[in-house]
Amino acid sequence: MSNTEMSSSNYYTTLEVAKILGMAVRSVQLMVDRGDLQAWKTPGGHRRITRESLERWIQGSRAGVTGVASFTGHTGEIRGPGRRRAIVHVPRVLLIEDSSHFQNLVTMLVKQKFPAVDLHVANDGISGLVSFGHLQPDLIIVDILLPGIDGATMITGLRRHALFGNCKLIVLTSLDEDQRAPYAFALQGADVVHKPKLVSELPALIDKALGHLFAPAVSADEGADEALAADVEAAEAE
Amino acid sequence: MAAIDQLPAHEQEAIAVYFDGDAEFYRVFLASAVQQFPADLREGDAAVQAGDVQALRRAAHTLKGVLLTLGHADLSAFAKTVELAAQQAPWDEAVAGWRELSARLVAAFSLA
Repeated sequence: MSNTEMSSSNYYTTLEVAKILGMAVRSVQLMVDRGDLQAWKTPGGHRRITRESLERWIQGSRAGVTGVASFTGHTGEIRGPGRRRAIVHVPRVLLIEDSSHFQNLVTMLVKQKFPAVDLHVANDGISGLVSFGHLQPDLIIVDILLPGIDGATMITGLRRHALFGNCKLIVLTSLDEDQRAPYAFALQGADVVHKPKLVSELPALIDKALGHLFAPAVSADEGADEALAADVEAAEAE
Repeated sequence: MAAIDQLPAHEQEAIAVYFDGDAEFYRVFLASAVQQFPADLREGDAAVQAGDVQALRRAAHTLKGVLLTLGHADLSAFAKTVELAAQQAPWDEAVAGWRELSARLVAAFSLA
């Protein structure tokens, strides 16, 4: 499992912003020229857009993820010259959580219960959006209170995106029931885990979200047969 | 390693209620939390220095969650009062609450 913490840089390239917003690079350049986004230029003339202005723009539009990269299928197949190789889809999970404590706890839990899962961690809403576009996860686990764009706003934006239908969502929160009213718009219909109950409740929800992606166990004989067939196929092609 | 029945009552309860009876998992998480607490305190102190209400709220909010998970219900409840004070009360009151919370955390976990 990799545990990649995405950059929390204060600046983004034009390409990165284009990916986050789902726009053409030229459109982002125009936004900079219009002053919608604040940026400076490197000695080579490349724009570096401030995280703060991007965050402000997304919050203003509340449509911050409408253009994230499209999802690919869960399994695929590569056809090389005469050799066919099945790609086993590794379930990919993105945790968007600013607390080191709960980053640790979720990481420990996933390693123990779901060793086949590829877990990535983002520290805040903006990094989470960037990671979402790059990783196209099967499941995102989002904390409600995040620095920058809060998780509730991010969830609302994600849900409006048609392609988000392919991604599952679990919400984490330390908010007690009496504190959740302001975020009800984001929590409706979502699986919500109160953080103290994380160890006892999260595994079942991950299993529910990703269970269909976990490959069934292959017996040793079946595995050997498949390996032999692949070798024969490759040899025949040479 | 201490047997479960030799652990403090609040830890036994946390293991039963929040960790599905897995004492080893609790122990590992507790160790990582104790390592992280000084950084949490620095974040809260920095928020106080900067007069950053939202950052102070998040610092208290984070502690509230982790303290309850570890079985420190009273301390967690106090962290919640600081979290709410950061949102609603005068700044001085929130700062005083944070300082009290810091002192209690240091005492509860024997932080240097």
